[in-house]
Amino acid sequence: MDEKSAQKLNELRSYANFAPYLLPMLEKRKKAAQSRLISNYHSAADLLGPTAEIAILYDMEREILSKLKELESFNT
Amino acid sequence: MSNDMTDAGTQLLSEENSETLQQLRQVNERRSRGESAPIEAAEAGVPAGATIEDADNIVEANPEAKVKIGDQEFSSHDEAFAYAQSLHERGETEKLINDAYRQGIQDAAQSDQFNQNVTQSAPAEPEEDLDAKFFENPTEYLKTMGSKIRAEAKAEALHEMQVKQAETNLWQEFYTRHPDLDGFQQDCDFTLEQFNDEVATLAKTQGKQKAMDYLAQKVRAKFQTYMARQRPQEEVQRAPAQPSPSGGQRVTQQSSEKGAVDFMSQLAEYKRSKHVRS
Repeated sequence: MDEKSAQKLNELRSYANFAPYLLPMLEKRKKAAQSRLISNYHSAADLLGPTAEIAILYDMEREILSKLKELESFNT
Repeated sequence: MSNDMTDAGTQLLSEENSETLQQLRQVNERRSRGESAPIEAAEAGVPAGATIEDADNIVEANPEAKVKIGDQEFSSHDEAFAYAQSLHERGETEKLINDAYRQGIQDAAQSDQFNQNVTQSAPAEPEEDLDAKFFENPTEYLKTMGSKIRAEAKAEALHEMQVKQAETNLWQEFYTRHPDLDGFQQDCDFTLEQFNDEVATLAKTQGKQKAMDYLAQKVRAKFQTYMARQRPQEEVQRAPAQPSPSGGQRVTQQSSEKGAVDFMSQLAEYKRSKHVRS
């Protein structure tokens, strides 16, 4: 394995170590934001804030999952 | 309130006007005593029926009298009134009132009593005007918000990870100190949950290792109770020795018991000994 690949693998492994903590936390935050969105909509900010947050959290989740998939393909 | 107004009116008077006011007071006193005041009042240049409240009108008549509105000074009430009207038309009166109100609140906020009331009542965290920020520059807003949420989420997960790591290290230390309990994580966890308060107190007062020893002792005590349960409570009854179906010598069942033997055994023993002698 060349140096670049080793570096990449290292990075992916660090994602894999981080994922078990990050993914449940993202899920928790998503639920909280969804609940805020449903229960409180008195102004545009009440809709914009949680909506943007949910979108960003989904984006983070997608990023982590894609890294994990990449690691899986790397290992095989 | 009326006293304040009287004071304000009095302040407006110059020295000459205070003389006129003095005359007015004298007129009023005489009138209250039932004397004919109009003549003397007229002498003083005061219209008949005038009271102390009319002092302002008299001051107005005097060109040297000055009226103040805010920072502005006016030589006559007419000018001051015209200025006040213009302020009102421009909507600045409200501004002045609002400024004065805000100033009043600020002054009050500085007093201890107000501060106490504020701390007791509600959290006064200024809310972000997300609406305004979003509509001003949506891209920038989302970018800022995104990086903020990402940073928060990562920090939170990292913190959790560190806590978990510290926990793992602690257990590792525990098993190094008490190797006989290694592999019984569930039992240790359960026991720790059960004696959490005691272990925490010990860790605080006597140190981490004492707390670990206490936990290990509790886990071992639990194991002892399990072992005690597993021990047989009744003496096992031995099955009587059965002769082998082939009639040969018993190889597998050897009894070291030298107790009572039955008639057949005695006979067999006798035959064997006879055979040996011959």
